[in-house]
Amino acid sequence: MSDVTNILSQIECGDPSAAEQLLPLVYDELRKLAAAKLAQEKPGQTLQATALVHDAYLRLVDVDKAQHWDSRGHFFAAAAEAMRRILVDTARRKRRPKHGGGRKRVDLESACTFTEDPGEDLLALDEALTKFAALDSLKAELVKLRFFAGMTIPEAADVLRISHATAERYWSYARVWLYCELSGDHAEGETSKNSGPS
Amino acid sequence: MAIEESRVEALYFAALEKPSPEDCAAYLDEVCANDPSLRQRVEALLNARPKLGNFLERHAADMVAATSASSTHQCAGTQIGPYKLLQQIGEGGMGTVFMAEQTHPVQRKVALKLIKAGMDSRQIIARFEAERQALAMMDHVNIARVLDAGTTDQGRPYFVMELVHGVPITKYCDDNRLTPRQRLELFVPVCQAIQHAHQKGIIHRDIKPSNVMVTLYDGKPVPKVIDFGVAKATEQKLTERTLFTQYGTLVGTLEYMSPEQAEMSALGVDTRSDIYSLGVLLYELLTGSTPLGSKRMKEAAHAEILRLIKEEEPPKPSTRLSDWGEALASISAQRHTEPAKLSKLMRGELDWIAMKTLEKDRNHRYETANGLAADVQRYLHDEPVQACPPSALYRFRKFARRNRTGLLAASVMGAALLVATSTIGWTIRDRSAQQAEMERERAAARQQVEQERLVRQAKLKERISQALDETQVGYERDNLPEALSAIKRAEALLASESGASLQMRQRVDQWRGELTVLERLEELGFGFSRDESREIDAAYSQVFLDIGINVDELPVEEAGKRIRSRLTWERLTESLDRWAGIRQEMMFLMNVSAEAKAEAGRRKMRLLQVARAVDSDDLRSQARLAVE
Repeated sequence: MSDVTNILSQIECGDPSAAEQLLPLVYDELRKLAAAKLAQEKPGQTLQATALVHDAYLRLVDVDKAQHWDSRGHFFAAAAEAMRRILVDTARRKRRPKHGGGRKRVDLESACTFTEDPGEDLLALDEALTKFAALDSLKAELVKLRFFAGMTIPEAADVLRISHATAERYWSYARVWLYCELSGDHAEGETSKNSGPS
Repeated sequence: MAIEESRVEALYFAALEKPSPEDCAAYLDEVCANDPSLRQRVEALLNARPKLGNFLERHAADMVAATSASSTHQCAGTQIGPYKLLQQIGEGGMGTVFMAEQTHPVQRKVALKLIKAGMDSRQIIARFEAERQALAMMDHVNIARVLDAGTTDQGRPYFVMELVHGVPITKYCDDNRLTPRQRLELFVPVCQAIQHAHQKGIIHRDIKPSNVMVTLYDGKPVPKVIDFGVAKATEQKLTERTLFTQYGTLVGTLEYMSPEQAEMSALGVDTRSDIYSLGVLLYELLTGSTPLGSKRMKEAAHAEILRLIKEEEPPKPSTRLSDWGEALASISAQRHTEPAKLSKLMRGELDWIAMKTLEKDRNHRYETANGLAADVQRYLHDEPVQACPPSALYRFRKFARRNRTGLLAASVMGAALLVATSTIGWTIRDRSAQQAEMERERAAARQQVEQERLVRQAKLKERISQALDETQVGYERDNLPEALSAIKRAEALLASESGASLQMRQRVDQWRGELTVLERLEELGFGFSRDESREIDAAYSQVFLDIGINVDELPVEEAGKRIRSRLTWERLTESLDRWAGIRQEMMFLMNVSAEAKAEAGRRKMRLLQVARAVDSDDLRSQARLAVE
């Protein structure tokens, strides 16, 4: 049984510490896949997040063993978080170009560039999302699955075990919330939050 | 905290379900009575909703694209084909512009536009090639020549143009504090350049200040239109063109886009789209802002912008100027004119010219760029302009456009309803104008009948021009049946109404005639036996004779010229090649005399010569030379 399959089965059996071990494994695999993809592809190709995540799943999880229990949800949640970190890291490094950086990171860095707004926006969004997660973790999770891991609403709904209609509703709310946050319209809300409700 | 958040959410969704904005406001009044900050938050969310556009709908990963190690910043010194990049001179939505040095076959400096990674190079180059011939034929002092296009080793497409040392026309005018009159004088040659291109069959599609550069020749400002052929070649779907950013803002080039371009129908663009963009440019030169206002365009969501372009009537230039308020001082200073005079100057003819150019319905715009230029010149020479003031008729037309269905019904139901519609028309009119127009009501009713006829006619014209566009597309795709069916449709439409212009009629006839010729040639086909070659040769001769081209008798140059003058010259030339193949076969016929064979050989050569005369630059012609 592969490491990841093993961990998934532990999570399934209710071992909470197992989830923490899952993320780094998925993260490493996705980084490797992303770098390889970017290196092979013609310039201008975008990263297909969905494809990457599915590739990683097939490579890391022993599907035969895992099919008996609900491994996909845990895996995809970890993958979404991993994708978020990879993309946000890339954006951050892009913002400070030619910064020494680790040896291993160079592969992805040199292969990546932002087509439009350089990273700034992605970073701002990530900050907003972190804030949102503190208020409403489920919706923030949905944003991660959808925006960072490239899932469709029904796919993400399945991972989160909510109905598609609820997912649509959450998604629409998350979008307006984040939009407001990014355009600074939440300033009022901020003050009331800081003054704290009694 | 979380509790408060869930309350915000609940109120947000509850408010969304209210049937009207008033109900919504009333609801919020009630539930947030003693909590203004709560209300503010819910309202902020509600207000954000229509602005979302495609916010977050594009995946984060799509924002990260792979590019080769040669990022644009390190490009100077790089060799691309025969061009050596010297320095970056500009950056746009579509790519980066470099000054480059060409070393071969001539040494000169050029502008090289390197298209951003992420577009389909093969298609871009194919589309460029399709237009290359026409582009090469453009020769106008106000047009920067397009020299070349290709792909880098990394697969990125690039365009090479005449290098223009200049600044965007709007910036030049502002920096040099040109008066409105001087601005108009500079604008006229821009129209003429566009007219020249239109006559060569090239639509620019992306006229905007940064594509109209002003450069100094002997101390005199000369506008140069750049980027011809680029917009068409890099044609993107509108959805891709509106660059996504996290805040839902859009890149500015939409401001110059015509309503029919905003429609997103691929067939809808014609020369009149360029006229509209010229109008936006004119408006900006005069007033310092685009008709729909760049600030507003930047704030609105994608779909909203498209709606504005398609529907919103912009204020007249004079109105826009008087709306500027305090900013008018600096706008006027840039125009070397006193604030009070500036808006007065616009009122009347300049207003009319600008508004005619910006008509949503392209049938009401100037028909040609020259028409626009001529009207501007008339204004400059103090002659009466052709654009008309917004008369009762004009206003009725606006009304008619908003109420098309009503008017169609009116045409059936007659005068009674006409009076009714005119009454509705009244209610929307300016109060002060009402009194004066009372007496003219009767006349207006008659005009309405006429107007309605015009509306119908305009609609028909539009459908015909669409069918013509489809014909062209069919032809270009080498899909003869498609082209024929489109042209037949155009014919049927023409027959149903007498109002179409002579020009349109001629164009339909021309296409119809030429396509029929192609159909006949097609029937002669490829598959034939050597024995039939003589009959087929005769049939080819006949087809060409019927269009007044006696290939064997006319001087080669003349025959080539006649073929080149036809819309379908490319296919005709191809058929010459096929025909030459048939004559080749005739050289190997049994039981004919040696002289006859030699004659067939000579005649074959002649076909190839004619084909070469049509277009000697063409690759095929090089091949023909080899065959000869």
